[in-house]
Amino acid sequence: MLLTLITFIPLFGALVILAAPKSYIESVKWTALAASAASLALCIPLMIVFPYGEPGFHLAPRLISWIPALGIDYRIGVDGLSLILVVLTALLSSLSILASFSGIQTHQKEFYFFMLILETGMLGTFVALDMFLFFLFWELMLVPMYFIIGVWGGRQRIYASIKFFLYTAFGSALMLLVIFYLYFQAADAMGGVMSFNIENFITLELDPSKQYWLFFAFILAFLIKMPVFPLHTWLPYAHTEAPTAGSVILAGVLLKTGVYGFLRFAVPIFPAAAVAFTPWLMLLALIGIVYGAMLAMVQHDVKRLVAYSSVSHMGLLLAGILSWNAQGLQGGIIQMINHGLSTGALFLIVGMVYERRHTREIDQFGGLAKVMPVYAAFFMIFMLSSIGLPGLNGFVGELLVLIGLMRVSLVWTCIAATGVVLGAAYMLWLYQRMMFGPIKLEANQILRDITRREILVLLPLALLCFAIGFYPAPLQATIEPPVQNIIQAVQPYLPDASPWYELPEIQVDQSGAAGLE
Amino acid sequence: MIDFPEISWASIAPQTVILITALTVLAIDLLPRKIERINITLTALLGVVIALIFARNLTPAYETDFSGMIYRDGVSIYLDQLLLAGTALILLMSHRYAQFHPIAYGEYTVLLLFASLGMMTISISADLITLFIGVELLSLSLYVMSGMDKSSLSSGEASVKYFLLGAFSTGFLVYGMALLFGACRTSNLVLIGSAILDGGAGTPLLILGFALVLVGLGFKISLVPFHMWAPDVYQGAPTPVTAWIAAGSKIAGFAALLRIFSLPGISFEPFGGYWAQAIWWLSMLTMIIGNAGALVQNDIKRMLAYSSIAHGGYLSMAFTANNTVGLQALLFYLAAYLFMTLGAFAVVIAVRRNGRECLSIPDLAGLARQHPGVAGLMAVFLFSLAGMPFTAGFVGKLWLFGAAIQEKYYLLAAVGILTTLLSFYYYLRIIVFMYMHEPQKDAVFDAVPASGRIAAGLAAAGVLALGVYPNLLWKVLAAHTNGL
Amino acid sequence: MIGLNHYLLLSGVLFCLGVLGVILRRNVLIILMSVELMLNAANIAIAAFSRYPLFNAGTLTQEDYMTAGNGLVFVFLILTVSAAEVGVGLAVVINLYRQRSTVNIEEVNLLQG
Repeated sequence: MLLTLITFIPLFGALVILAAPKSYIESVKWTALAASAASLALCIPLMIVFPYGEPGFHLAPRLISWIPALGIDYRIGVDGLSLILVVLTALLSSLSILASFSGIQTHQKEFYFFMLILETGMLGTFVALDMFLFFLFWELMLVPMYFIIGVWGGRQRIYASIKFFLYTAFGSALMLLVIFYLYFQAADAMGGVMSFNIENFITLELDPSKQYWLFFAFILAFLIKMPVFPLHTWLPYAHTEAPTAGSVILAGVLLKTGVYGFLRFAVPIFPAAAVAFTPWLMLLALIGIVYGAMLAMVQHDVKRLVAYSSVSHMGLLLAGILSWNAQGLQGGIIQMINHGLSTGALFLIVGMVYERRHTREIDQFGGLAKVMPVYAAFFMIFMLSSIGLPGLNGFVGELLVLIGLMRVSLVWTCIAATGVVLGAAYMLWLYQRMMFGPIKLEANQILRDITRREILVLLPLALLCFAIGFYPAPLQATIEPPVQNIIQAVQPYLPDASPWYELPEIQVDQSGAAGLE
Repeated sequence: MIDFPEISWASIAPQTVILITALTVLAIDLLPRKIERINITLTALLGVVIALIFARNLTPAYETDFSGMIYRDGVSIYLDQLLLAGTALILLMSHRYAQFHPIAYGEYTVLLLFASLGMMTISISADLITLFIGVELLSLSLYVMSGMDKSSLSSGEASVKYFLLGAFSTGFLVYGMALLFGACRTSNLVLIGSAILDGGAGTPLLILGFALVLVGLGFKISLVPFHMWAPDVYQGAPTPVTAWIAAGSKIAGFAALLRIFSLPGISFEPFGGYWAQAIWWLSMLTMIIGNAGALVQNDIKRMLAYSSIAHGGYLSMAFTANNTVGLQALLFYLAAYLFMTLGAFAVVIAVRRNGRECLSIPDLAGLARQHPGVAGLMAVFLFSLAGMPFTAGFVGKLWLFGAAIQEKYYLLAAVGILTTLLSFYYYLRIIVFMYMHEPQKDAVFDAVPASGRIAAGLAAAGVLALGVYPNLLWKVLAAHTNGL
Repeated sequence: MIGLNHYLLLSGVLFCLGVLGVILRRNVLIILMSVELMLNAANIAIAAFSRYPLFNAGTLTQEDYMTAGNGLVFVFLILTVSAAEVGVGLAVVINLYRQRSTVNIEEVNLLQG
């Protein structure tokens, strides 16, 4: 019941907003905040009653048969991995709604409506245990985000929104096809019981030659969402053109849904294929790390810089996961949270200065630390967290990822570390150009420091950065069972000899290929 | 002494009510005094509602009636209800449309009711003769209706094109029926079914007959390559007529296909193999060409025409899949298609700018600013047509693709999904214009009347209800497809 | 002796002529006539089929009479409907002629995508 409430309170809020008359703009804002805050508040009892350290899914409400004709159930529940993502989602949603109070000036009613629908979509994606329900929530995220980018975005918003929509929809379509294939296979295997329960899919013994094709079609949606090089091209546009709240949610949560889907569904259902594809995915992840960092170096637009840094960070995160050992996986999952916090916060930071200056060109700033000291302090915290300074959250995640990688291959570790070093370089350089030096432009002289509301938005994120940085143990304990679960799933397929960084040949059985036609 | 066969009038009650209503409206219209449009609309609506009540209270009987001319099974009850609901929505739309266009409203309403009667005749027919009468009643009414806007050159042109290609297709249909009659020596579909079960479907006469019938009906439901008429006719005909051609005529066409290719009592079984293969090709081509054609359209009605062609492709997938899931999916998708198509057309009719119809997509620029409610409804219909979750279109597509995958037609399902993706582009384009573009200079959208809001609102309620809780219909479908 | 096949051949030829007429001719009235040809081809076929037992010159059963009746009713209805179709068709063509002063289908080309 608790999970159901957390997931659907935002949707309820959205319906209330839809019914509200046009003139009640102020109350619409507060309704939206109240709905997402209520969802966040309910996360506290959720975190209290959650049985830490126990494997499996918990806190599932009574199972409801939703579309019995197709065997679709309302089946939800959380484990450690989904728990932390649910909390992250609720937190970032509330904060980005609060941050939008000043930034969104047109069509406010519709904006908050879409934000709340989006929140339900994201929360649902993380709690769904029915493959079909997952798909529905996954698609539900798409439409509001499309509108948020397209209606409230920057100059190239229409191009950005359509690109985002088509990329994501393409991935989902292939995923749907695979889900259906698995559904009928599972029905055969279970003696005709039609169900989208993921347990049925996981226990399915799939022919390895078919697994490769299915796995590839299945994870494409996740790879696009993550995004992995070379499927990342929608991201710089979407992130740059979206309004602040949109960018925060995109970077903070939406990218995580890709990783989450990969870990929750793709790996347990296709463990053999996941291992077989590892070298290739690793290659893409490493390219993404370096490529994203290099492109971030040369950007003139702050938001674009942060967007490319996302590509780099997500590459590192994926590399950690693909090492398939406890450290790497833990590091990867902690990086999911870290990236959500620090990149989300950086987008908020950029948004705040954009609201004041209406430009995002780095050249337009300089010396802001003098006129906006509090702002500069927060910027510093998040910038350092993104770099991975010891004592801040980024350090824990990056260290674990690198250790995990080290256990597999030294070469990969070196490449990934390059990304970390480059990350420090472009972030520090950005900070230096924007914050230090003389104030060259008249417009920057008169900038006001951030307001109390804006401090309220940034403070929780900053505190969490420190908390995870100083004492990551509870977080690690929470994600331990899911990590063990994943390791158990892939263990039988991992090559014995370690390190195993040679690219093994992928055996594609011709008969398997023919069967798919 | 002639023995009159036992007749159960109750089973054709909805049809009878519609017939009586049509004649009543005709009589009212003939009165010397000028009759207000609203009275005509209300009379017709009353008749439709009464017919709907009768249709709801029918119980399926799995045997023929009227000396083997009609077959009142669950499917026909279901289709009758759909068609009546559609007729009611069309009446609401036409009422508004006739305010601005010189249409002889009384005659128009009579023809509309006759068209619906024709569709409902198809749905209950158990005999080639009844089926043929139904098809012709529907087609002839629609030919005239599409030419009724006397002020518009394109309306006249649309009616000529529709008539010529429609009559051409009737020729194929009738010749096909003649050959079926010759092969089985009866025009009764049940007897044809048992004759085929006895003697097989492989005789040349039967194959040719079914092929010609398929061509004839392929024209009616605009399957590629028999779709050439659709874009022109859709564009030229008065918009409510276009809506009824798109929704009603397509449902009726599929009803006819169901009646002929899933003969009462014997399902498609004898037609597996090459029939499934033939329809596989047709639906493949229809999905690809329909969606590709829609991509480049700038006229909303033309775009909806190609979209309707494409949906015909998805729907005909059910005939390839040829299983119970497919049949249920087909029936479900027909309901979804009815609501989303009529809804989209209702919005197109309701929205007028500076006193003129908004027929090109850029005309809708900035609609969301001035009429957020109507724009929102349009977005719901477009998302449903595109197949986004929580709309009827999604559940329906899913069900259809599921049926195809179950029978291992992976390529067909994959093409279905990929063309659906393609369709996102052109549906989104309208949404982009409505929501993301500034209104054109001097463009002021007129107030949207209550009738338009009601029609679009009802359709949206249908789309969302079926999308969020498909069980509403599932129980009905499960009960109605039992006897097949 | 003229048998069923002769009738069918005739009907087939008529049908093909009708189809060719619709495809090749550009005058709306001629197209209309070609469509009628197609319908009447079907009529001939049905009429021939319904008298099929007679061609065999055996004893006629009850069922044969049923078939004959069935077919003749079918023919009758097709005739009626095709008459209605001609009526509607002419009305539509007259409407076109009033608006455009042409009955050539190639000059009717306002509607294009």
